[in-house]
Amino acid sequence: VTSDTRRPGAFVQQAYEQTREYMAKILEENERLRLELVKRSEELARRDESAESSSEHARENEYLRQMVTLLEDRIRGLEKTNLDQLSELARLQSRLGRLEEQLDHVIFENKEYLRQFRTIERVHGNLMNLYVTSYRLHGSPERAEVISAINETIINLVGSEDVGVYEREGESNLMRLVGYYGDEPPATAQVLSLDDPSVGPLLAAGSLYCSDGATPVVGPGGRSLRVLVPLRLGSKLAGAILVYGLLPQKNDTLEDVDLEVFDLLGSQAAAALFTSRVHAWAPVLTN
Amino acid sequence: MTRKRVLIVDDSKTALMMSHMILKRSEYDVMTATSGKEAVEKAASFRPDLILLDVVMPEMDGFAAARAIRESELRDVPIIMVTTRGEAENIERGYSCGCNEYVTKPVDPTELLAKVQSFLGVDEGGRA
Repeated sequence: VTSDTRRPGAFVQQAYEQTREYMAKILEENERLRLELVKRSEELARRDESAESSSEHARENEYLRQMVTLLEDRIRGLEKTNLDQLSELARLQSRLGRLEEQLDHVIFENKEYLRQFRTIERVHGNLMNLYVTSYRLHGSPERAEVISAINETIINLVGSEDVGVYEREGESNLMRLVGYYGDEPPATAQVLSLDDPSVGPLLAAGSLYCSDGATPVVGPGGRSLRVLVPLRLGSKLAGAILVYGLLPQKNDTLEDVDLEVFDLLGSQAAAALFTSRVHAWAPVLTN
Repeated sequence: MTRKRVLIVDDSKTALMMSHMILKRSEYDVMTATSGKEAVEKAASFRPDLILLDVVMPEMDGFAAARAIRESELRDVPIIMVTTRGEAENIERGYSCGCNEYVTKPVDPTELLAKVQSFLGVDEGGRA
């Protein structure tokens, strides 16, 4: 405070003014410090919050790290399991391959057995046909029975309902119809001549004839032949069986067994007919 | 155990013998008849488990015999028609007369046995 002695109140006024300025500065400084304190407090608060957040993150990180560790262990476990399973799968696939090979072998064997079984069945069926044919031909000396046996064999074992059975008259060139099955044969079919230009050569050849359809042979009565079976008694021609057609279910096809039956008839039917003829004469001869 | 009984009906001795031989392999008890009339009479006493019936026969044909059998106590006995007549109208007529199945001649042994076994079972020896 500067002293001014000329005005007694001036000193007080000056002191008052200076004090007021000083107080304003103090208040201003106080306000600045208060604001600074607020600012620092807020910063401190923010720092506290940040620290707390970091702590949570740290805990979360620790949890996640543990989880990662667990998952890695789990993955390693699964990988090991997977490897074991792959190994087992490879073993099973190998075994499956061997079993498939065995199955293929068994299937092949079964097919082979089935083929053999069918062959045996076919042969067995053929033998039954031949046995029945032979048994029936020679089962009775009665003439009607023998002729019936020939017809029945053609009908039931070969499959035809259109048949004529001819027997040679002694040493002549004529054969006479002694049995038939099917439609009533015409009068012209009652006799078959060995000199017939169509059938004669087939009879002279003495072997089984089966029509191929291309060059039909016309038999007695003007009908085309499907099969001609010469009946032989030793080396002698003793008769013939003429087949004009097959049953629809045969599809015009002759199988091996049919040919075997015809072959048997060719060699046995004449003998059976001859026996029946002798049998018919027997009472006359004995008397 | 009782063997299955089969009645074979055919006017042909050759056909009878053939069918008998086929069925003998399975050891069925077999009886034969040579006409439809005889078949109806024998069926009543023999009481077959199955009948093989030819169609074309004297006195009474297979169709009439099948109808007569169906009208008797044997209405449920399976009848297999064995015929040379493989045409559709004959087969249909056979079914309408009460036949259950048909086989055409010449008989295939394997086919006939399989059809018989389809009714009587495949047990060895044909036993019930």
